[in-house]
Amino acid sequence: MHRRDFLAMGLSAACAWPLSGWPASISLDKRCRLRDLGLTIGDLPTGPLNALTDVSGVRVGHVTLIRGEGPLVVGKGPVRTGVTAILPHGGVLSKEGVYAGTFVLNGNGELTGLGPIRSSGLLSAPVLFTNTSSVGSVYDGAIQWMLERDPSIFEGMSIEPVVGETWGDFLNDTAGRHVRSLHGYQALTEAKTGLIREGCVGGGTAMRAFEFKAGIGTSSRIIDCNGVRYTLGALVQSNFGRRSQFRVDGVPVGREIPKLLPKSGDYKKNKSMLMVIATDAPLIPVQLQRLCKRVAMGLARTGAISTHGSGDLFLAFSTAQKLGSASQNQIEILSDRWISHFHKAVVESTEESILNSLTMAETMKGRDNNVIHALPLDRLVRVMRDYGRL
Amino acid sequence: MKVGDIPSGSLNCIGDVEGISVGNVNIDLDGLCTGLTAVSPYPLGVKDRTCHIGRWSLDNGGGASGLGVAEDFGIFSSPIILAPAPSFGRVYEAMIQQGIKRDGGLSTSNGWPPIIMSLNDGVWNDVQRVYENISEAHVNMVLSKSSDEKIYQGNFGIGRSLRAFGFRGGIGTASRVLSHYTVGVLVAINGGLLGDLRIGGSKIPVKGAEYQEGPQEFCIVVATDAPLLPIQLRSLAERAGLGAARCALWNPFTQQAQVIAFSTSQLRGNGNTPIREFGSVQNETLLSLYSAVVDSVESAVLSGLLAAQSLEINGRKLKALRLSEHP
Repeated sequence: MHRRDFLAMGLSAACAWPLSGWPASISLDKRCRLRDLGLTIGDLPTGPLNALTDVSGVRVGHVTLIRGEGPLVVGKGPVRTGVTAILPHGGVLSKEGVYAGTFVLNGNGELTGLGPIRSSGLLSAPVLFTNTSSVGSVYDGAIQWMLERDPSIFEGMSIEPVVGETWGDFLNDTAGRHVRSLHGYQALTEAKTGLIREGCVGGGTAMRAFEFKAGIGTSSRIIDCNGVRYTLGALVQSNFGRRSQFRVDGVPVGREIPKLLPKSGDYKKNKSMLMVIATDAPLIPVQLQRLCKRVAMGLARTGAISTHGSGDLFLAFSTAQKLGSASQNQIEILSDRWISHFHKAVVESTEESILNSLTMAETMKGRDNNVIHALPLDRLVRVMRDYGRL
Repeated sequence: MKVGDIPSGSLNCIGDVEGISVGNVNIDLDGLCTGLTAVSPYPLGVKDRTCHIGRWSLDNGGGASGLGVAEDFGIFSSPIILAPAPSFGRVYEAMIQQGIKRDGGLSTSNGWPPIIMSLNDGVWNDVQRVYENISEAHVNMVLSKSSDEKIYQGNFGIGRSLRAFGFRGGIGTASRVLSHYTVGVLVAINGGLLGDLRIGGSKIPVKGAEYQEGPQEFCIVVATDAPLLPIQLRSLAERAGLGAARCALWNPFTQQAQVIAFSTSQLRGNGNTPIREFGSVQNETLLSLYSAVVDSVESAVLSGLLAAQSLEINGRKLKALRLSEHP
């Protein structure tokens, strides 16, 4: 079930729940977001959607490929993969780049296009997340999409699509490389403002976190700087962590729910987290890089330790200014006096987006009938209640 | 002798960038020849002002302080001191005293952390004596002097004891003026291999140089009034290395090099509002600034070497480079 459907049928009920806790009579067999369970992270207010797209202009699109069941036949499936595309705005990025910063917490992953971002401080191309074997085809699809909008992308400063990956081999036919250029292209054309689907969608389709099913998650925060309100959003593709490490708002939920581990096969190899942070505050590259570092702190709050095998790669951009080739002799910069508020927003929205990627993901069976269970929401609620959080 | 096509500023020195001042203290005691050099981005009496900064280093550069804030926040507010390595701690101590005078809270907009770049001049000098003879008073002096000095090409301050290409080194400075902006550099010329100096791309034959022993390290300060972001200043600092490579100061045996680049351009706006305004340069302008930096550094190295004077100390001779002797 998708969040959109859930909201359509369940929002009024959710609003009626007392803040003190979840009534025992409510069914918890449907997936929902962390806040729908009455749980909150931190104390900054969220944007209206509690999503990356609360940052005005930001667009997100998913292409999800789920086909076949049973034993793995390379090239045939089963297929559990996809692409998630993120656009800072609806214009031509190569002509109107935005300031960006990056941080690599652990480098065993791929996020292409970091060179131009690090040298110029500009993100001038779309961002796409997929599975490990599909980086090339998604990059290819992105190039086609970019060329259609600006045939001159290879003429000036270096511009590269930013394509990241995480490893979803436990459920997916990785070697079959079922994501093709077309899917990268399609994810970009699907990218829209508004609600973002979470859980087993797009690049997050086969992913898992803390040995529960995970995938895409998102969250946002509103920051008040002396009466000027800014929005900061986060979107994660989660694929990391051991069960015993898992914490929700400091509660050792993983130790309280030790069972429901992935079924059959070698499931120990998982790794990586891709994160995009967006804000409408006018931050410059050096400030956005500082924000990226704080993603690691939100990650740590969920219990993850960024293992040797992990590709923990973070990108932050500001939509406040479009830096075009047209003459521009003035920019705006947020005073560093306010930057700690943004650090806090990053830490809170990172933790919550990871948790949303878990609470929204459903149990999935993939190749060789391997199964990754969803985080049982009734158990989560019980644990949080036992620890006095509900 | 002219390097490149871009015109230089009126004095062809880093002080051609408006607001920049340079001070030198020469410390000459019996058998000791060393000194301190200060580059101040704005007058010492100014409060609550930061400048954007970027850095580049080869092999992490020599001893330096203040670069954590410089790299992470992209700002600084301290005068930049070039000091002999043994005096580093004492200079730091004196700079902290200066910082406390400006702001007891040692804020990043009032002199903290101090930016000190150190070079090892222990080959010529008795390390113990360098250590003992540089004091807080010298630091205060170099800061107070850094308002009126106009001539500082050759053996001033840190340039007293440096060596390059087998000749006496020194500090070299140069500037370039573009249509809207000025770039100035100051190079602590140290290192370079015997017979390897290049002028206009050609090695020049040398006479009278001695075997070059000692550390192959140099440092460069780049200043501009162009409104550049920290990330752009880092690119500028990287290009300074090209200027050093042109004359082979940066060579395959260079162990450490430290370059910092800063902009004097200021954020504008009310301190209580979250947003400040800042200038912006086009890509073409940035490329012109790169060229200006490369030419400035090459020019500064040659000017500094030619301005140096021969020295005899502790029974050892260090000759100055003279082109007339090298047709």
